Amino acid sequence: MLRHATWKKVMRISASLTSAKWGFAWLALVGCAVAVVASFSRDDAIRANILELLPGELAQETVGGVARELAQAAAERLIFVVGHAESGAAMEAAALLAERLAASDGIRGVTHELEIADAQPLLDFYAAARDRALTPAQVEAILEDGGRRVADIALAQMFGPASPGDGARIESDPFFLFADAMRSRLPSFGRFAPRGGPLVAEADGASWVLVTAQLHGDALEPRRQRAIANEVGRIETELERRWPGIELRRAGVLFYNEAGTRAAQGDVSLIGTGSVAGIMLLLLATFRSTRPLLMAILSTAAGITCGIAATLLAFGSIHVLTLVFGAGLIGVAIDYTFHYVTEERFGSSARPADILANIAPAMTLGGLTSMAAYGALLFSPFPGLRQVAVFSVAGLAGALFTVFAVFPRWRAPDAAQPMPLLGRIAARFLAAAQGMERRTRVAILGAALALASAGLAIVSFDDDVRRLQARPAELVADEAFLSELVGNMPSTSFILVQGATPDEVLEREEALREELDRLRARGELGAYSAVSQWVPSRATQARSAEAYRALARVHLEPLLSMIGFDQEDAVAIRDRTVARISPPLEIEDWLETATGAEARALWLGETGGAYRSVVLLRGAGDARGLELLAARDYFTYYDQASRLTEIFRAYRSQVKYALGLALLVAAGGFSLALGWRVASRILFVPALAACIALSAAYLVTGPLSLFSIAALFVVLGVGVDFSLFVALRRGGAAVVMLAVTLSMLTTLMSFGLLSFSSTSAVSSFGFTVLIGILSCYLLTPLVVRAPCEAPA
Amino acid sequence: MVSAEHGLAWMQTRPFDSLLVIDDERVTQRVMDHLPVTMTEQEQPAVLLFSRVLLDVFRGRMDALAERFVVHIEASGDHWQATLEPKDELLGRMIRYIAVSGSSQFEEVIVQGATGDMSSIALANVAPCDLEEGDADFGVFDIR
Repeated sequence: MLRHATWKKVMRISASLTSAKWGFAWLALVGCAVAVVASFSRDDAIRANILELLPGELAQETVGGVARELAQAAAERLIFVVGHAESGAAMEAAALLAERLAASDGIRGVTHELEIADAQPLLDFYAAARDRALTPAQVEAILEDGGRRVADIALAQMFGPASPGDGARIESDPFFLFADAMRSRLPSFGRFAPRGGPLVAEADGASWVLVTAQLHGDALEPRRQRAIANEVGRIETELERRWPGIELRRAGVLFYNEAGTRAAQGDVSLIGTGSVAGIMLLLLATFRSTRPLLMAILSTAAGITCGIAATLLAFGSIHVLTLVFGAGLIGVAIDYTFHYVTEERFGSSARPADILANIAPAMTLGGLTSMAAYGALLFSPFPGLRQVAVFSVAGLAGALFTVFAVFPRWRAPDAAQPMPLLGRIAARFLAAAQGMERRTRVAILGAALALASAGLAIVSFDDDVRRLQARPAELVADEAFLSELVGNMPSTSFILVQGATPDEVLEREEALREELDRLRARGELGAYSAVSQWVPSRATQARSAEAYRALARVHLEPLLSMIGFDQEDAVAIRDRTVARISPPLEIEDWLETATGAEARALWLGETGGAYRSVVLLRGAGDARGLELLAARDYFTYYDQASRLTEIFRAYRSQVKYALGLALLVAAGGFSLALGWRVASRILFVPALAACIALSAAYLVTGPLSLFSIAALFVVLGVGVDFSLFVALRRGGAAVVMLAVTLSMLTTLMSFGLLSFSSTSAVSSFGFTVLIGILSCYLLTPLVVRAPCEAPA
Repeated sequence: MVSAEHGLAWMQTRPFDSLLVIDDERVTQRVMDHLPVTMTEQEQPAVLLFSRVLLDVFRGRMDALAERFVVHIEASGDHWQATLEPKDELLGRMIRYIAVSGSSQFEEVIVQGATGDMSSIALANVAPCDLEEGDADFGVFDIR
């Protein structure tokens, strides 16, 4: 079936590979790979930050830096509320929680009482220029009627019972404007108000007391996260015992991460143990010897080591996702061992060179196809996908090379073995399928094709990054409850504002804030923080001072007289106020007031001749409005979750094209080697199986993601091998079908078991592989003709 | 006027017209001929905090006040005086203490500000009334 010249060439190369020098070459190669991996085994060689998967220039930019810093700040925060029908019990329990948290390892900065003294530096910052710090609404109110209403309300406040008299304030802030203007500039606590120290809010028929904490050290380190989550669990039990009916609600990246890690570890130990035990049992039962098992381990280990070494050499580090994707390689690489061992045990050939000659054509073509499929990812602009390409190509080459160079030298047991039951059943299945009438086969294939196309027509995609992590419903509910109560939850959405001078940045911020206020009024945005809220632009400061002078000129003297000042004193105070020119408010001075790390992080200062600031957004509902707002080139909108989702969407589309490209390359290669008729039959099965798998995954696990598409690489890689070996390998149907069946079962046991993962992305990956490989196995005998007898 | 249900209405006629209504949710004030202004806790936490204290004082809700204040009560003969010292810092920055005194009725409320100023509210002719819902006098609460 294979063209004669090609066949001869492959035979010659395979035979030469069995010579001793290739054994040494293998030792040298694997030795080098181990040395490379060892030399890179520092802490930072494995990367987990998902932002590093961004295309090159974006990852380095200011946006990436700000995003990382905000994500870090968010990751370090823990927020709790303690609730009880009796406010006294809630307050006592919160005090105990704060005490226990403060004593825990890895937690610092536990706050549960309001500390007003922190605000003093900020108040001092405005002390000399209060007239410049009016809010836009106050300036407008003054301009509306020359300040009559503002003055009358101030007067009423002084006479009313609800404002405590404060003579000292009357001279410095006679219209109570400053006190109002400061409200939005001091830290806010949402619906919480101080009650004898603790911050308390009323909701759902209970009193809730706020307790916040800061993590220190590496907040993302899984062991530490587990320890802290356990500690919180212990404290919760203690609170419940002492105050029956108490409720502890929490929010924090740590809790999500910890739940995600716990779920993933549960998956790994269950699925990992299941698949390793299953594969070992299967191999031991089939071959009644440990040697095939050790061979499988050696070839995959050599492959993975080569893959990691090549990636480290090319990129300097390796991303966790590369390892996850690259693991798909094992499923393909292990098949080479099966073909070798089945041929050696049950095939007709005795000499290693003959064994290789029998399996080499299919194995080489299969290996090249898989390498082409993964190699196509090299053309992607995303570093993550290029890493997968390098990892997989090097890994497959390493595994293939091991089979050629090492296995022939690995002494086989002499005793011949009867064909195991598995091989006999598989051979009977092949014979039954091939013996079917043409009409029946066409009908079955037609039905499969129709089902797959109907499925493909309705599939939809969901690239939400949160599917990567198991999200317990309880945590999601707690977070929603807290963000309603607290208001200023950590945020990772922002708009970056750029300008040639600090003042231009502030002016652009002010223009942006007007738009943001409109979004807020429509309920499309919760809140925002911007430097210009604290330090207005020069023009706005001047407008404020001007309005204030106009107000004082007309209304200050009558106001002071009305509350009992001497006419003379009142006139003097008015004249002083009107004549005074206050110093402008400067960003540098404001930065020193330390209104919290978050506020400081808003001003980025100057880089490369441009000034930048961050407008932090909270509770952004519809991102489209914000994206539109940020369309001008001096604004850049960023939202962590939607940005990551976007990355995954882009990755998915790239992977899809790479997959198409790989199919084309394989089609070209197969046509050259085998002729287009055979080539199209061989590729038809995995392509059809891929469509069936996608449709089934959509129907069972919901919208598809990048991971469903990535699963198709495994389906194509393993599936093409099925057809190639059935079509090309000599040595009898039972031997071929035994290897193919082993390949199918091990793939199902490793990847198929991932369907039971609690993380939605992983389970959809596993399920896609499961259905794809099963379909390949069942359809291959219907489409691909096995050679009737060994060709001469 | 104090109503358990509607809150506190404070009407002022001199030196200018003003009406202030405080309830559990908000404070509404109408000054002279201007449109009424309403303040909620979200907008004006400090004003609301103090207004609520005042409302509790007039309603005589000692349990609510005890959450925020240390309460001392002295009595001699039929005269009594309750002194409230704030527990939390925010109130402590506004008020040093509130003294409420009286005999058979409320007679005086003194608010000693943190910076030394003092407001004194003297009450005369305090009388319970049994207004019914819909009574014209309830109209003062309607500015909200």
